[in-house]
Amino acid sequence: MNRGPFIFIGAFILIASTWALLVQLPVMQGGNLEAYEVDGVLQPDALPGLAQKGREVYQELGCVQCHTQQVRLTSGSDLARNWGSRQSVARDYIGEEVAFLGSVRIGPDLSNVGYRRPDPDWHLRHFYNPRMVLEGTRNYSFSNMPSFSFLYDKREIVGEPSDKALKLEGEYAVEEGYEVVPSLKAEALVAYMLSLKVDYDLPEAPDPVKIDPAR
Amino acid sequence: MDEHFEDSQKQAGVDEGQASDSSIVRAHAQIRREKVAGSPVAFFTALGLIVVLVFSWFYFRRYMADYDPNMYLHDRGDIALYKSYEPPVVDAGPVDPMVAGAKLYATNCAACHQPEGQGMAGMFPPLAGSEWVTEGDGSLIAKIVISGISGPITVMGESYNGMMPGLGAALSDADIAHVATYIRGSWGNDTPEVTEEQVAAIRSETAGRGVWTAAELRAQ
Amino acid sequence: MRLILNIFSSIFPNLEEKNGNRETERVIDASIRLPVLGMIKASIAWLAFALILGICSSMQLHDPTFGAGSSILTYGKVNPAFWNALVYGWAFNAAWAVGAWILVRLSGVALTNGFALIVSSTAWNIGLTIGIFGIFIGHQNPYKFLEMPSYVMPFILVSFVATGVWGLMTFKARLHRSSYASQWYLIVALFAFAWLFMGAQAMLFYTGVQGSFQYLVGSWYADGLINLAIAPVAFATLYYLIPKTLGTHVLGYRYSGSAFWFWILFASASGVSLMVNGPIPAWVASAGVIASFGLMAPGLTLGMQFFSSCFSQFERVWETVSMRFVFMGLIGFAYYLWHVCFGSLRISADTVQFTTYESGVQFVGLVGFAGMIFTGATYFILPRLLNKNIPQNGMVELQYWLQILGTITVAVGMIYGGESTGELMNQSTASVATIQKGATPYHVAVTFGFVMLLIAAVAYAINFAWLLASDRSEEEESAELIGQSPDLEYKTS
Repeated sequence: MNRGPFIFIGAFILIASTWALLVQLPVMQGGNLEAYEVDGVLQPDALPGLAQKGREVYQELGCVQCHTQQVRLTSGSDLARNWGSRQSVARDYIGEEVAFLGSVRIGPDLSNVGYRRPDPDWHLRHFYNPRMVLEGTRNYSFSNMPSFSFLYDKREIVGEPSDKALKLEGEYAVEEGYEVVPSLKAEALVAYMLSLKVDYDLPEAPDPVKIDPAR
Repeated sequence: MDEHFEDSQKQAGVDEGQASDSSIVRAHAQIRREKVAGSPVAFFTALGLIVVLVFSWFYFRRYMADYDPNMYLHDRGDIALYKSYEPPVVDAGPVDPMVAGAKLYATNCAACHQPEGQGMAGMFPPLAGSEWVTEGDGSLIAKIVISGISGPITVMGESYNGMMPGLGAALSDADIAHVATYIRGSWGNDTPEVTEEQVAAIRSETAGRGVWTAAELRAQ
Repeated sequence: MRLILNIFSSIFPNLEEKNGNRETERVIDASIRLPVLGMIKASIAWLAFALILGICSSMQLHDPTFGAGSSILTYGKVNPAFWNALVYGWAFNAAWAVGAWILVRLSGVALTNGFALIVSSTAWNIGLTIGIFGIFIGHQNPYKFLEMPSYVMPFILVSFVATGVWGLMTFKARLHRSSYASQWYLIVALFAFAWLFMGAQAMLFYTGVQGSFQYLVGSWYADGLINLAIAPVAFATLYYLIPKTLGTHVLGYRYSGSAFWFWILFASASGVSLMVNGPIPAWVASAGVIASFGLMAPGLTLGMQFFSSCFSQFERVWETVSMRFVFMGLIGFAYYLWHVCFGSLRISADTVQFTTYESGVQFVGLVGFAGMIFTGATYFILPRLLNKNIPQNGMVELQYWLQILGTITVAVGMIYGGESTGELMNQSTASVATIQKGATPYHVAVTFGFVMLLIAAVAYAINFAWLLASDRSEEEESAELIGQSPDLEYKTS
């Protein structure tokens, strides 16, 4: 081990071959999946335009720092929490140029948030101030999600109040004569939230029925 | 903290070097050359390698899921259950030709003839109320679906001049029967169904021919 | 004015020479003084900046009204900015300040192209500043340690490769044909970062990888960054400082070769284990678990070598300022290795996956293990570069204890906080927010730990400024301040 080239080439061979085996090989084997046809519709299907825009907002705000978009089957309580009905598999993400799998759950998983929270109005108010929406609901104790009020415009009411204006009450109300309306970014983000649902089955995706004959 | 502070009064300064750089390189090179064992290190090196070897042997046998790129389960028990799972066979009963036909129509026909069979003025003839659809026992429409039709045609008094490709290669006899039945029974059309046997007979009769023209069909 | 003169005299000392004492060493140190001082300065500045960001991000987890409604201070931006500043700002600058110095010292020849090193490390820091700024204006990527926008990545790569070429040239120009373990690890760290970085960049942003496989690349990179680009520099520092300050050879040095190769083999694949239970084929994650666990073999060898060498001269460890830091870093290494080996097993991942546990382990690796060792080495290097005593104002003590306490507090908050939230998540279907409320004490602990580390960083900065700006005492005017090191004798017993 006295010579530099020996160390350099040895390290190169080790690092390059583990990369080839554990990163490049899986990508070549399984990283060129195609959409699967379920009842004549290709799944996963493309996102609507506004939701596509919402993906960019999701990335820009770093939502992935607290929220995952992957459901586990054989570990954790993901299914019991109604976060999904089956294991997430690679094919679920093929349309995503930038995937948001995430690695930390300070908040809940969002793979199926479009199912759990189908009401756009709820999302608009929740992004404005999560505590405003959750306070008073059953079992509410705390929420450490940041407020995204910077995605909303506070403006003076000119003429008729906008029909998009948030209904703010009590301590959250703004001064008389003003209203808070969501910006395009907020609406795009909500459209993205509503589009997040895995409502199809894939042949390779394990679900509880397939591995537990008792069910 | 005071004690530590006093210590630091004594200690701070410069950390003395206890070995010169070149002697560090030389002495250690000598250790490697002379292959001198270092007892606790030797023991733990061997221990570490053995533990890791045993562990990876166990893990390689147990959790590698046959290197299957489509396998998302790691546990052998789960994998066995997953592989032996067969979806319960649902006996759907006899297929309703109208339901099956509607689906086939939506994917194969509606782009031109429109979802309500109204066609597109001047371009694609309508199916709703068309005499080509309702006349006879349905063999006319079955022939068109199988082989296609091109050239001038008059439908409900309007003339069209287009081209429709045959779908015989893409659709099975049953499919053609279903879609023909659907067209003959929808949007105000009310004529009897077309059977699979009928389609099969027509297919064998007209095997090998190209697209029809309206005149050829009328001649029959 | 005097301040400026003092700084000038620190950087360009004009020493009274009584004899030719330490001629070679002083020429070598003078040749690399500017780049190393620059990198130490940058590392301290980035550390303080990172910790301020860390406090801002951790505060929000227990007090969501902090920074509420600010598009800059939102957690999703502050948190990645904190990690990137910590890794690329603090860890890399500190690592290469120490690494470059050791590389030159072991080569035994004065540096001729120090200017290249100054330019490349400045470029690195400029690129990093733009990158952190990019995160704040919303150009972040969602992969850990790769959040900086891809437009600064070529910048960073080029400046790092310049450092790497410099390192190889320095190694090639060495006086002794035989090489030492420190040199092996430094060369591998240089090569590994370039490979990891280019591989991840190319696969994520240029050729494009499908969906969930992006995270496979991302986790391969994130762990590789710590285990293959930063940890080896810490090992190099240990291999150098232990004989240097204790006057003993590294016990069991014979086994360094096998430890070296096994470390590279396993460390380059350990990151993949973060993907267990995820939407990638199960066998890939299983192979990653094997690699993570496998780190135990070289880890035991390295740990035993360093610990037994330290214990053989323990009173000297405690007397030497730098070795006290390094020894704590060694304990940090043992703790880090424990969690890397056992935390990656599927049985642990079932509990701790998706909690703050992983961040906690990475934090221990970066700050508790590597960071402590680099700090210690800096206290060994600075007097030699400036020919001045370490300031005797109690700041070193303050920094030492606060750095230990702060790291422990953060580690407890993140690692044990992660384990406890993970258990609660698995055992109940209580809402995530309720579980987060229960984890508030852990989040508070992390904030508190960051505050302690920030105070330690300020003490560090004061020491550094003091060293540069203080008057030279009579003793410090003389080249005799630092004694001649005796030769390390190896006797076959």
